Amino acid sequence: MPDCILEARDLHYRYPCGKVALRGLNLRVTAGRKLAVLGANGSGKTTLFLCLNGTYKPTAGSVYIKGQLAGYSRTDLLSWRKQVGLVFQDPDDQIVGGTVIQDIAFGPLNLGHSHEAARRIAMETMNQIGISDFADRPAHELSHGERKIIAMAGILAMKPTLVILDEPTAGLDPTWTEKIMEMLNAIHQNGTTVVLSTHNMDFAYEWADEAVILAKGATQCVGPVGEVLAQDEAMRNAQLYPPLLLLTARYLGLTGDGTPPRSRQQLLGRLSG
Amino acid sequence: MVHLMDCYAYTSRWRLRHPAEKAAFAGGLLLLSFFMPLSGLLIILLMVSLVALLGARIPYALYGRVMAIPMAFILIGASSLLVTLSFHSGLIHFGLTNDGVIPAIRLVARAMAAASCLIFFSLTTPTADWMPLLRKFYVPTVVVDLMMMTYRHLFVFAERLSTLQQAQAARLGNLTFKSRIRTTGLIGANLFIRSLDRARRIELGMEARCYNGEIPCLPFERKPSLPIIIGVLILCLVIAWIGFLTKRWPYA
Repeated sequence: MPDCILEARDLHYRYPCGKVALRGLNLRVTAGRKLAVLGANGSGKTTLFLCLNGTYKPTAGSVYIKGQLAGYSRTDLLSWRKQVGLVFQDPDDQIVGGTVIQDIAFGPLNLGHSHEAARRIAMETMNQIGISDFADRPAHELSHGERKIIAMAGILAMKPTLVILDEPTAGLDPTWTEKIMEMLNAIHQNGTTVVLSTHNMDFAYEWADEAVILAKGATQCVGPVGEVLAQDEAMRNAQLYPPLLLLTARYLGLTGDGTPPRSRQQLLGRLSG
Repeated sequence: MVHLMDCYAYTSRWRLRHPAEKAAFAGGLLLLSFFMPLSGLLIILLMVSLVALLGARIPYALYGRVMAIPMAFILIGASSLLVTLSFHSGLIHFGLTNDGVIPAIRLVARAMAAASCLIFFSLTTPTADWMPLLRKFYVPTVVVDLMMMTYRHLFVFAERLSTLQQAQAARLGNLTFKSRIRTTGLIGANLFIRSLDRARRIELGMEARCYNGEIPCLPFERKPSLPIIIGVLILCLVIAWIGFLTKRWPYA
């Protein structure tokens, strides 16, 4: 039985305006894996994420952290958010500080670290993801991609065991997307479990270990990313398109031996080799 | 212009000097400029400008441009002091007298000396750097928190405003006077709704980072240098003494 770090059981969520976003959603996040949450716009990804870090309290169903039922008291929420970090899609929703270091230190200071410790942690986090030269820059002068990274760093500085990212590559060019992928891999190498949502199937296919398809507020399909994305029926029902890479590999007959190419480089390697 | 000044401050050569040191210099001289005679005012103006241009290496053009803004207002204001009106034998006489010219010059010098202190400070110290300092001076937490949030989101707001304006212009929303009025109203309404929405989302974003009712802020990394602060105080005393000695001079 693999280690389950976070589990959602039969989650229902209805917004105050009456819109139902989640209808009996089940999800298990395995420790140490990279999970991609896929789904069309309005399939419930963001609502799910807000439920998974305790921001929204589901109308029915519950969330378990390492097998323990999660509570909604102030202290429960504090320890919950310390373990499960959520990076929002729009970095401007999350960046608080005037300068980069002030912003990244915000989380550690909230967790009760001293000024010196918070500054040290912020510097360490920035070094880790290679943005230490940003420290004294004002947040408003950064580009969209840079702001996304700062928002990510702000969460990482709180040292969560699980990071959830809502569309970390939305609106970014291929270079930034690749940078984010490298960063996510580095975070994962350090032992953090990473969950993200994306509309970029190629990104999900290359990066993730596992994938889950959401449609109409419920889980449609879960499993290793290669298998999930290859399920044409489920993908079509969720209004998703399989990655071009997978289609190409299929067409060229490269999927037969069970290890289809997962990245552009691998495909090119297979074609030339 | 304010945005430009704040942007420049982030790249200023004296950015990494402790805000308290810069505040002591600018604040001390600012206080003095309230009651110094003309000689003292000129010394302050000269001293601050020299420190700003040669010490902090603020570009001459930028310093000149920023100083020109208060200068324009002050010159207009002082011109009313300069001219004396008198009535003799049914005629109105305009005249320049010592009673008018001296106060006018003094007024200009006082206002510019004070303005130079503020301009020096704002061109070397970005807002984000000095706001944490307010905590040390027992400004209520709520006020500082609000200031920090306002500062951060002023830029988000301004960006949104310019996007909306561009979008309206792209759809020819400001061709006639009437449509311009209508467009401005629409932009205002849109900004208002978006601000409320943004406020709600920021709250979620901050909660996700364990916000607990008070925005903690990182103080400046280094401690303020005591010798510099003492030096600044001595400088202020010297200028005050010179002012005291020269206060009976003619035209002072």
